[in-house]
Amino acid sequence: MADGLLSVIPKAAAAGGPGWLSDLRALAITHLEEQGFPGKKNERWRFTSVRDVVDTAFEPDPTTSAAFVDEALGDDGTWRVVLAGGRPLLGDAAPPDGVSVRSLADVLATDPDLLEGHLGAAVATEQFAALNGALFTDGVVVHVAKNADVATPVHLVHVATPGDAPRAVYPRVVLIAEPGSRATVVESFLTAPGGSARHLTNTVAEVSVGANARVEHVRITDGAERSLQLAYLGARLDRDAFYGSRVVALGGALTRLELFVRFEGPGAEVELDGVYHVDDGDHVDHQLRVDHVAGRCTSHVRYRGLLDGRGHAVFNAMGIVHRDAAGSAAHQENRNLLLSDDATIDTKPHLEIDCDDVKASHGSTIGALDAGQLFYLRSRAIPEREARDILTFAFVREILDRIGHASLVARTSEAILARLPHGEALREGLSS
Amino acid sequence: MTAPQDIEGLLAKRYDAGFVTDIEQDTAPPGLDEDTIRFISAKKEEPAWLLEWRLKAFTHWKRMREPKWAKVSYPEIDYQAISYYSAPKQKPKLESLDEVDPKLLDTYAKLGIPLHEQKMLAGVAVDAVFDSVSVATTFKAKLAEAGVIFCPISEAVKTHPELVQRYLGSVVPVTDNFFATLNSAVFTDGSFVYVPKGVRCPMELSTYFRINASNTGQFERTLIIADEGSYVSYLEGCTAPMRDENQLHAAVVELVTHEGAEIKYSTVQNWYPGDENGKGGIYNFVTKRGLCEGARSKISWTQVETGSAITWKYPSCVLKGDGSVGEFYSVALSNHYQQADTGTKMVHIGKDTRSTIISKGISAGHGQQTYRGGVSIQRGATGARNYTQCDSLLIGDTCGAHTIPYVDVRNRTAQVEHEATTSRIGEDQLFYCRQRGLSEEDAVNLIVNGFCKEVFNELPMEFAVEAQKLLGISLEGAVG
Repeated sequence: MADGLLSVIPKAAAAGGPGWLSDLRALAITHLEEQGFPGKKNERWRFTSVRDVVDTAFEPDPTTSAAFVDEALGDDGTWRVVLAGGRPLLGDAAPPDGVSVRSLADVLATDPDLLEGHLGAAVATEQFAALNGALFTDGVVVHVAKNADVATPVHLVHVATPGDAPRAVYPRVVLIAEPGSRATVVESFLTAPGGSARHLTNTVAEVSVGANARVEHVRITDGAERSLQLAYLGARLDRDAFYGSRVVALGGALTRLELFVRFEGPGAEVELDGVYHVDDGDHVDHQLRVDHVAGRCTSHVRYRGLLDGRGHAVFNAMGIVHRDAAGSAAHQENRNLLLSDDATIDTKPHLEIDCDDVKASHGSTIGALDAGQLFYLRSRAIPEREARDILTFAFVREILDRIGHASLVARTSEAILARLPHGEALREGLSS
Repeated sequence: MTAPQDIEGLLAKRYDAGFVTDIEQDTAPPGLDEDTIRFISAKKEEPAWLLEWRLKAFTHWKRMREPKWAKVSYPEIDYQAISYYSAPKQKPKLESLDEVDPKLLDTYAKLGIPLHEQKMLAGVAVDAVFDSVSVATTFKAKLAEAGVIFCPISEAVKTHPELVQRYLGSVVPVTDNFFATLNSAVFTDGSFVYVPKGVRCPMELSTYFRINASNTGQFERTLIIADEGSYVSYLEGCTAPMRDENQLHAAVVELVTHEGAEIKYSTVQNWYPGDENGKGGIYNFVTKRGLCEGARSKISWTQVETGSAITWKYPSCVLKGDGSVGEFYSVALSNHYQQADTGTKMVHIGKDTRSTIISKGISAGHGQQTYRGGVSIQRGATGARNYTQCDSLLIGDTCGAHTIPYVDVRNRTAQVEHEATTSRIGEDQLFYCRQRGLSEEDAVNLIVNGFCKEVFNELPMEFAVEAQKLLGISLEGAVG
């Protein structure tokens, strides 16, 4: 245990930076010291074990470049920033009009007031958010100016570069959308080739959506077998704001996202869409929480999962309607397709409602491919293997389409097809 | 709309069944240790194996900690302050109802359960449990003719020890959970039913429980066994007198069905819920579980929960036999400061097993209502199917409704569907009823009864009537 993750946590908050940041770090450290890391007795960690992670001594990831990214992603019509070793590689190219993208370390050194109130939520509730809170040194700040309408997506590419010993990065992302602005932010999580040891990416992203602002946030994880992802994403919405989260999680030894949304002003809306795929050796866990603190807000959760091989997926969504949040609407849906005999799904979409003026619903389904649909395709002379893939792909395509940007829809569709047993044939069919 | 103060006035309807019958009690002093268990066991003239079984449970219980995961809150229970045995003074064996203490009969009359009337009208055999000892058992002869054994479990221990020894703790092991283990150590009485092979029980079996003595936790133990191809329907209904101190009720119910057998277990629970300030009331912490041991067997739980300060129970089915069926139909109402954390667990082990869950929760006043359900499809449960629907209705802006369904699937041929909704009574529905000349209260009753209809349809007829009435009384005026 002495060599594990707890050993990298400093005893006291690092000096320097604004006072509120030191307080925050101290709080995170105290929380970790008191709570330790979660075990199976912790309700939210019942189906996901982090024992391996906690017992591993990770060293910092020293990488400072990631040349493979341009080739891997090609020209996808986004404005990209690569984060290697948890630090942004900011070039000379100017970001799209209306948005500034800077290194977090830089902002903390020169303009810390910008971050006060935007950085630091939830350090004391979630252990791995606290871990990041105690350890982050850098990251990215995306600041969208008031009333700006930014058409080009800002794309943050987090690169994990595994070495011969376990490595870890703790980047932090702050996204501030000022009132009336519109923007799309994409986060991709890629694993660089080479290296045999595991790599932990422990991220925290904090999103503040101002009044009347509209933010699309796409998150694509290509889980590699050595990849460990423990991420926290917190979004707060002011009056009449909109936040659309589109998550695509493709496997990984451990891919966990805690996605917490809080309505702080009335009339706001969120859409939380997600697609996950697990196969042999994959463990994907989504923990969602939507807090209806203010009234007249609407939340839609739509997650679909494909479960193959010996994969294990966990889905847990909590919709909370507080006492004074009259006129709330909270809807959750989680559908899963089981493709193998050995896959496991644990799903728990649940609602806690303390207000009577509310419309809430949740639904979950788990099942295999529909025999009738398969028969129909086969009767049209489509071989069974292909027919299976067509139906499997169609099951998630509906959600992928909601990502909006054609290049990103194409990229995620390709990635899913590549994971299906006979996706190649289908891919050709789609591209022709 | 009714003014808020009127609503509060109407919500404050008092508990009608609140009275105390004064009968001399043979009560054990408060406290729990091995001697208490030996005392209970001796009082019941139990065989040595049962005493050992109890002591084993007690030893284990001492190492257990009270669970805290439910969404209910209550002051710490002092298990040493509870008296674990209370029985009306032992009388000579009774041949007919005439010999029963008239005060006792009077109690039942006040509750609207006149035994002798029921004998003639309802065709229901009643094994009335007054506190802990069964005092009157009817229709024994008719049941004996069919070969059905229906008696207090303390009697079954003496007359059918082999059956009790074989099945007791086979569904809910002594080490199962804190309250079940406590029950195993100190249970006093309860019902025992055995339906032999191929027998369809000629009548519906019924037990009315009544908690009476102050400060007496009641630890019922019910065991129902349906042998191959048999069928039995069992009704359980409860009321308790008004009392300021909280009373703990930790019962255990075990059901076993063999090949092709079916048990239908219905509950109407109307224990004292505490007063309008949340003072007093029963804690109902019950473990109910059925095992579908044989192929094509079926267990169906139906419950209407309107009483108790805290209801914390999950009648469950373990679907072990291939093609076995589990059902759970529930209406739970929490008004005033009542709390309910209830639901079910369906464990699919056998092939082609099916389960249905229909849960309707109604919250009013400061009531807190949680549906917590588990559906587990294990690796070998090929072709398993589950359908779950849980709806919540909120009346007033100070109550809460929570839905926590766990679904765990490990077989790809499984089909699991879960649906849930939470809303208040539709204003358009209310308006429609009102413009047809219904009073607001009648309109709410109508809508709530419609909301619960799917569950009431599953209740035996007499119970369905009682349940509707109960719901109406419990909800009187609770219109927001």
